[in-house]
Amino acid sequence: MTTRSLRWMAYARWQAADALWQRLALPLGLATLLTVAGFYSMKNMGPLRAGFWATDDGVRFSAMMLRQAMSVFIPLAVLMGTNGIVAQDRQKGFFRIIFSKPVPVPGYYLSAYVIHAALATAGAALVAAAIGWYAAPQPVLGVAVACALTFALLGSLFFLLSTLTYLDGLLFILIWMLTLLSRQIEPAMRAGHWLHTAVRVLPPTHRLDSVRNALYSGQAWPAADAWHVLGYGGACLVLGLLALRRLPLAR
Amino acid sequence: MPLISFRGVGRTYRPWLGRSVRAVDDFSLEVDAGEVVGIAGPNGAGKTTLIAMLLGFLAPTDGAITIAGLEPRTFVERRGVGYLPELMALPTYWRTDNALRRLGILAGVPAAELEGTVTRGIEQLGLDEHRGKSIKALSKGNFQRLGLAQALLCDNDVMVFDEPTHGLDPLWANNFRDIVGELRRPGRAIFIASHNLDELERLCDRVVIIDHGRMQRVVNIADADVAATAWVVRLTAGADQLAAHFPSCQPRPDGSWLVRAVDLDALNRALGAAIGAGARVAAVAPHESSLEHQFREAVRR
Repeated sequence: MTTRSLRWMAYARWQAADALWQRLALPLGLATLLTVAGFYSMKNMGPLRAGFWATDDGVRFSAMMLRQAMSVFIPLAVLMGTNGIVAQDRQKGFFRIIFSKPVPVPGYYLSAYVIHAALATAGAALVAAAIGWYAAPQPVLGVAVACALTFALLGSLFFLLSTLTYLDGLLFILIWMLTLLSRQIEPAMRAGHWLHTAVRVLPPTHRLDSVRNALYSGQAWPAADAWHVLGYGGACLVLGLLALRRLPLAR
Repeated sequence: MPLISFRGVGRTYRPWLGRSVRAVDDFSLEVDAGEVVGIAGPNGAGKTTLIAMLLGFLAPTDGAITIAGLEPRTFVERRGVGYLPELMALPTYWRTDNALRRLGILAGVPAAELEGTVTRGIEQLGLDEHRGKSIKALSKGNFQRLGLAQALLCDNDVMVFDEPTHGLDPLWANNFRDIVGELRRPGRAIFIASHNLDELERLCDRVVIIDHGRMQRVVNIADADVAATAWVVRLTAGADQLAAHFPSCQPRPDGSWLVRAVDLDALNRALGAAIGAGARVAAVAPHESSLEHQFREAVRR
């Protein structure tokens, strides 16, 4: 193992601590609170009969709790995990000291991104496993994959925006709204119209939704959609890394 | 070959809205290993932009900068630079000792030496009682000392200090001078940007004066020491004898006298004669240092 990779591993510990305490603790706490509150209110409705979690109602309720927890945790984890991931260091001037050390800029942020994604995925799996342990079994792996794919698509888009501008949060919201709007009007567009082509540049959130739904319900996931999501996210990540390599750190 | 080379460097900021600003213009300088070079200039002269380009945080719009023959960013990513920025900024939730640990890892301090290096830095900069505090809880002076400690974590060949004594009390400002004295070694170039001309005069071999982004002059400190022509003389007795030998001398509000002499020899001759006639001299100092004089000439507006 090279000295540089040992150094990265040593620093990854600190990046993981930052990710956990500064960015992911809140989404994880909220998802946990929401889940506990859901089960608590269920329990308060009356004593559960033996084997309730094995019944259709029990399985349905558990699945609903999982979806509810993930609908809070995953978007918040992506938002808090990647919003300002690069821009904040630039805006606040932290980069000046960090990058006076022998540290490659893309490598530093790629490591932060991967650590955030891995911890968020582990967090999602943990919540799913906890629900599965307490109530009906849940597709822990599917939930983890869904979280990783969301991070790959939206986290990478945030990453790219954060390398380009301080206004990454605002731009993301704008792109998000455009995406929602375009999905509404897309069916009415003529094929070959420039707007139809332009819409294809927007993040394929509808494909992510179809993959996620399949994963949550433990069905086979549409591979073409998953590859589309991964391709889009991968392209954003690579563009972000190129921007970090080519664009000056100070503005 | 010089360790650091600026060749016709220029930098223009082009905002999306508003006028372009030429922050640095046609700046050329060569810095040899072993030198301590100061950069002085009024606010907005281009010092910070120059340093940002030296560290590869900004690309010059004209000319080129090389460090050991490499582009700045390449050099920094390979070997690192000991750098204290003017606007020190680190995440406020970091703890003092952990900040040094983190930055020590990034600086490439071997794992086995990390704790020793951190402890040494904390002791050297007097941060022992603050080691467990978060950065948010540090005073400005202590934060500046943490900045100095992190800049000294590694034995870098290039050190850059931007307003290093800003916020330091006189004791630590003095300690900083000792630290820079110890940092001098063959093979290492040290850059110090400061408004404090006295500090630059004490620490540097050469001082580059810049204004409006252009190099105005380079003052060689060894030559500058003897170039003063006005002196402040403090007497315990014999003001009349002093006035007799320095006809144009003027009393100053603090009780000392301002005398003029064309050079050091003339000063010594006249002072010797005044002392011989009964004047008792307590102290003699240049009225303004040559660097200060040259700075005022260079940036006269």
